[in-house]
Amino acid sequence: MAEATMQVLLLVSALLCSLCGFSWLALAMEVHWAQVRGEVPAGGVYGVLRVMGGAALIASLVLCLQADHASMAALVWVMSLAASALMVALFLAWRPRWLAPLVAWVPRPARVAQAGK
Amino acid sequence: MGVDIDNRVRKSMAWPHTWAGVLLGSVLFAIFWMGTLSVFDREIDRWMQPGTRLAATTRPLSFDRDVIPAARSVAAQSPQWGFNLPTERMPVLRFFYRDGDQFVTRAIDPNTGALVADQGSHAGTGFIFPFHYRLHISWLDLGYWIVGVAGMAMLFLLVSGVIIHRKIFSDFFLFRPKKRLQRASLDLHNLSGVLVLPFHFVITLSGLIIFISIYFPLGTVGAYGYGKEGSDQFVQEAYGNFKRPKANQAAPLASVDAMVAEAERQWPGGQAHFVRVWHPGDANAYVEVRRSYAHDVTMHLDRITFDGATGSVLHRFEGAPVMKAQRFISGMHFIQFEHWLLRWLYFFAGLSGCVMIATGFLFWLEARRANHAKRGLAGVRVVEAMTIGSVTGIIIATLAFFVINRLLPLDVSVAGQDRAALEMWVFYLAWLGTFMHAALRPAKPAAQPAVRAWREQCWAIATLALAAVLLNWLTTGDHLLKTLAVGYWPVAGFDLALVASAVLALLTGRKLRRREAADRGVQTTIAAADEASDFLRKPAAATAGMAKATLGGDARHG
Repeated sequence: MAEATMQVLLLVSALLCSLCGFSWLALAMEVHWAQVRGEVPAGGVYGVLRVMGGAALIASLVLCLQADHASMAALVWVMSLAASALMVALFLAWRPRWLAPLVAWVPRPARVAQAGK
Repeated sequence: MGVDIDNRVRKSMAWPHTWAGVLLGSVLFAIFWMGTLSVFDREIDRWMQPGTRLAATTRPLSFDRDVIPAARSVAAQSPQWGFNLPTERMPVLRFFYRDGDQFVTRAIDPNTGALVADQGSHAGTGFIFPFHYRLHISWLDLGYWIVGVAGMAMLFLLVSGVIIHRKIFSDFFLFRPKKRLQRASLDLHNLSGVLVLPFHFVITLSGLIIFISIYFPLGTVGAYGYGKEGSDQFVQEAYGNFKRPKANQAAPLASVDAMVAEAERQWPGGQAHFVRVWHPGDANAYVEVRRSYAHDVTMHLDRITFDGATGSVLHRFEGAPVMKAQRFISGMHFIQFEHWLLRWLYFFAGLSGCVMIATGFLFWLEARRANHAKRGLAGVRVVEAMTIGSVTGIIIATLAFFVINRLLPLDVSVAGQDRAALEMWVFYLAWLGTFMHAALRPAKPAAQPAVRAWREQCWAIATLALAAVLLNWLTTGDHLLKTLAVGYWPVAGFDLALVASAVLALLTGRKLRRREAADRGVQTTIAAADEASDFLRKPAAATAGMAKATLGGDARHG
């Protein structure tokens, strides 16, 4: 039974990883960043987000390979990518602010902070 | 120059993409819808055949003690007995036997060895799944060919769609549901197409590869020549069939349990999932045991054939490399393995395919609506009625199939049609009815979407789905609270899916009503101008229209 629980945990983690991965990749695009945060981020942030996004998707593949043998894991990974990308698109369409926590660590540009207060 | 070529290629793909979509979209939706449901065909069987809602086996299965005697009791004279062993998703043992040139299917309870009463329903594995790959049209194999043409068209639609799509990466996550229907449906069409593209492409190609002998016969012919001898030899080498004629001498059958155990011993880590007894009771009887693929993608062809009278191994077979590749690709489509996450992901991917096809239709309709109305063309009206019947219509027909399954008594027979056939009749008549309904409830005025028809079919979906849940409770007593409490997921999951469908249909219906009111309000001035120009041709209708327009949009209408 512990093996089954382990498999479930690995697969759930894989899904969360690909969800984060696609969120970061989406937020590395100006139009979607604006939906979630509004202001233009500091330079280089998009590049960092792309790297993080790609890394998370690879991490998701690694987790899938831990959960199942290779041919099954490849199928699970590809399908979970589709599901995650769709979910991110639906979040962006209906609840973009829900993705804000994923980029909460990105500092707001200096001039906005001064103008705010 | 590069951009110029790109644009020309894009434009040249647009026309065939559109036409292939419009002409084959209905068939493709039906294939995708039935395919998506087939992911859970065994669960549909549990729901529609309550006699098979058994608990998991408590003791190891014994062929000699339970199964063979049951088979002998109904099919002692049959030349062929087949047994599908119980699995996680199929708690009964499925027994089929040859009766003349027909096959009869029964279920055996593995806990008691008793035959389960005939449930009188084709259910998921017998109706929904075969509909998916041959549309239940067996005349001249037309069903296979229509599905094949649709499948090949789908491959073209996917490739041409990618070519036409201008900004595939910058629009990757783009979905603007609040925009006009034309924009929103194109966004969703692109989203469901691009994000799930690997699935759509592989599922379509693998579907064609499953029936490679039908769709691409020249491969076999090239290697084995034309004619029956060649094709027989191909089948024998590809699938490892072993044949031996009857001896016409009675002899008892040796222990099948021992044969199964020996087969499992010879397959490292393998288990048996299928057993077939040829010429049972004859001296030349033989038993084939086939290997399970519950934990692999490849649908193994491994089989071991035993002598029926002595139990000794007659023939061992394992698929050759090319066949194994074909069975791996087929396995990606059939998904017979046990992996719940992957199964659910396939289900939602299938639904996204349905969304892709439906939104394609919606976009086509909205892009041409004003133009066709102005020019008095029938195109949009006809395609709209077809779309409604193909999308909400087939859903209504499926739900009617579930509802009638709960209503018909077990031994009913009308005009020579047995219970299982009557269920299928209801499906087809309901489906026909939805097309007629869509044709009889066109848009008013013509330059608007036929919101009434869509809305009414949404109400029908919600009503039928809730009726099905209620009827399951009334006729079997396995209501949602009970199935959730004991964790009987096939039935609980099915009921929950019905409830979710009803909720979705209700929300859509409400949204359509609001959109209808909003559209009528916005279009008031345009409608007034239209009616004025119609005045010379249809004075009575035009006057009524103008009166309605001047009174303003009335949400209570329709």
